[in-house]
Amino acid sequence: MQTILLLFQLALRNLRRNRRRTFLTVFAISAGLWSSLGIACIARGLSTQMALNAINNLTGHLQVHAKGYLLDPSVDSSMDAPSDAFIRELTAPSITAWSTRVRVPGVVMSERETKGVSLVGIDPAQEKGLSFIGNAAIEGSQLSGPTDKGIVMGRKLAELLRTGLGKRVVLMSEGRDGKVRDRGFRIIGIFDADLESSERSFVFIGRATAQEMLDLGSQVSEVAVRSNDRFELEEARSILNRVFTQHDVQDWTTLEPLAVAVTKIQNGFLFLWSIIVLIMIAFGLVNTMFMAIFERTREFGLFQALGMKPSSILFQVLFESALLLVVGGLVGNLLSFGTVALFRDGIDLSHFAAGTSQLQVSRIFYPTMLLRDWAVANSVILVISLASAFYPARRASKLEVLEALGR
Amino acid sequence: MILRLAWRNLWRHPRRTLLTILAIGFASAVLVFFKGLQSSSYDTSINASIRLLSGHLQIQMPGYNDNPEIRLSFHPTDDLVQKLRAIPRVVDATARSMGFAILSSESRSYGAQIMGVEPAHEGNLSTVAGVVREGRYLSDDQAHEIVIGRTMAKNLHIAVGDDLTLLGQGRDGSLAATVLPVVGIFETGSMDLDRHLAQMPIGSFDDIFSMNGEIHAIAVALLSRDDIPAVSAAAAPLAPSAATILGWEQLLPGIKESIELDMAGGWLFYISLILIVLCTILNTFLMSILERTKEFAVMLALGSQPRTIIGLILTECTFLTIIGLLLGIIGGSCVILYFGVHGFTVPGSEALAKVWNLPTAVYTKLTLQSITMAPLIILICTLIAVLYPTLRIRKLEPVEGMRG
Repeated sequence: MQTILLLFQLALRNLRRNRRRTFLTVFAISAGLWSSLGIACIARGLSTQMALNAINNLTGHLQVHAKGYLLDPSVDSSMDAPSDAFIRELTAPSITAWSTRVRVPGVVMSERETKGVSLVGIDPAQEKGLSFIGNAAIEGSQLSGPTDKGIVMGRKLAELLRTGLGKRVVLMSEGRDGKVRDRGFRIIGIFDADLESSERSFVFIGRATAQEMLDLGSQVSEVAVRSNDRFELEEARSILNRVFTQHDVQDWTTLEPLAVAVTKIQNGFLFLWSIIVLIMIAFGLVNTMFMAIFERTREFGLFQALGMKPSSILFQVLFESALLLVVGGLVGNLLSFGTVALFRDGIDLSHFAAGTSQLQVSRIFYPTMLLRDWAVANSVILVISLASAFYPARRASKLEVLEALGR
Repeated sequence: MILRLAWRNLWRHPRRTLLTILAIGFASAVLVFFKGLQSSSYDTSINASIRLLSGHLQIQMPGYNDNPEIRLSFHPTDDLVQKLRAIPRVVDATARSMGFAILSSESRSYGAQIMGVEPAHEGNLSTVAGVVREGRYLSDDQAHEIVIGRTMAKNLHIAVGDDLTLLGQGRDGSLAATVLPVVGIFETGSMDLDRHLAQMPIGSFDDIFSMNGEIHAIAVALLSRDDIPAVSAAAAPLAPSAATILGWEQLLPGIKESIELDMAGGWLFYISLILIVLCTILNTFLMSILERTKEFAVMLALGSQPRTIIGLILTECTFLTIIGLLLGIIGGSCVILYFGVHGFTVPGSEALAKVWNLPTAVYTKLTLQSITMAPLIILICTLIAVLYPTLRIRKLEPVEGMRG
């Protein structure tokens, strides 16, 4: 125990003797850690935001459709709304929100313009906590219920149609009998969404109004479900499979492959980046430790002549590296946590509005520190630093006493 | 003499020198390759997007690009398009018109963007004509026919040979209605185009949408993006005075800004890597300066000028850094050349490519800028950082130095 304390003190003293070198090495380690972790946080923030946007974009965590709807998302592929018995099942704790919707392609015509859209018939109360429209910022007012006769559309669409709050538009869509139905609606609300594509593609009307307009009776196009964890969907899925036996049940990873693809690619890239940083740090550390040993060859020789065991020399050098590592790691972690806290209100990409719209990411995202990334970044730095210090340390302990004293 | 001394000094500590060279070489190889990959990717996406539909530049009425209203049309003087084709570096120019309509098959109806094109020239502007998977492309300007995308064909439940009813609004507000046979189905790979775009000959479009000889845009394809300024200048006097000429950056703001976004992210990587490698280099150089205080003191005492010593140190640093950087440049270039032949693909990026209209493989190209930018930055930063301790040599007192 005495020896260990002594070695520790020696290590500390050595580091203090050469402040500039210690500083530079600590700087390199913390810069390496900060960049690995920082970049991981930004990447995760982006992909998480993409996933959340995809889920909020009406997809939800799980969706149920009549078989064939996904290939042919029209009024012909409607399904029966869940009966009361089923509704009881749907109130299980793993299902936090669910709704039924009419969702068919349609065309909206203003006085000046015509655009193709996705016509969505909803019950706004059911959409709360489920999709973006349930909690959206709406200028004017939200639909009052499934029987509301008004229409709510996105700001971008209203711009493209050269129309506004209070004006009338005509909605056209194919009814059950194959004939095109058209009906006039007054714009009662205009919503702003994170994704510009949401503002352009969706128009919302009351579900009952949609069913009546398209002659659907009580049928709907889809059931959307939200669970409490977007990665743990097994329980919710099995409930849905039980309730809806003749239907397609899919989760968001299948319905929105983009977000998943981005996450996968990010994982690969972040891993590659850690390796690169790791190699750079290794180079630096090995070099530094060798230099530190070289200038103290005489001292080590003296220690050994005075009776210090070679293993003690080894440990002394390792302690030095460990100290550098601990301080560098601490600083690096602090900087990383600090950066995440600094951008806690999100990083705003509005300057690149056209770009974010093109890539279908939202204009704001929040750097996220995942435990997994933190663990990987820190262990990588730890392992590589100790490994790089080991070889020089061993060399130091193997010095020939007389030769060393002679230097 | 300084050169020989510097070189010899470097090899007094072979392991240290080698490790430092390797560190610099590795870092600059990574930077050179990434920069090359980045530039090539951007280049590839921009060119792919230009080639997909928009062309390098377009002549339109002001405001049409932001809000394509059917009334924002113009009358091309008789030989305007021919004159444009005659400008050097122009591959082809073609007239286009656009309108929105509902296309109905027997069982389904969908909204579509209808584009009136010149079949003989459109193929040089956009890839649509070249990716007709079933049937054929349009034949001539006046033919009464239509081609649609694969996804739209699927949604409408129709095949080549079936008829589609077109229902829209003409330029003068009158009803635009007709029945057209589908002569071809194209598949560009872009989700957007395959689902929403339909093309028909411009003469028929003019008839159906009551355009009265007016068009919405003239799209021009050039040999290279670099020709855009020159060709724009040449085209300006030919175009109608009210019209405006738009380059790809205005036609495809999404691509331009998404690239800028990516570049901003890229800087994060570069700066981190450069910082880390600088620390490594600095440690080595500082060590080599400080441990030789005695040696420098002796040299000063023997009559060397301080600036000779400073020159010596700087030469050593420069040698070391340049060797490492050259190694890195060569290494990075080799990797770039390798992927230039085999193509660089990121596994799992096919899904992205479809949505973002990108090709899946990038064939990396060697450009002077990509292989020199990062190494130059490292060299400059290194020299600046080393300057401070080096200049302190001037304050070295020979006698004190020899004692230490």
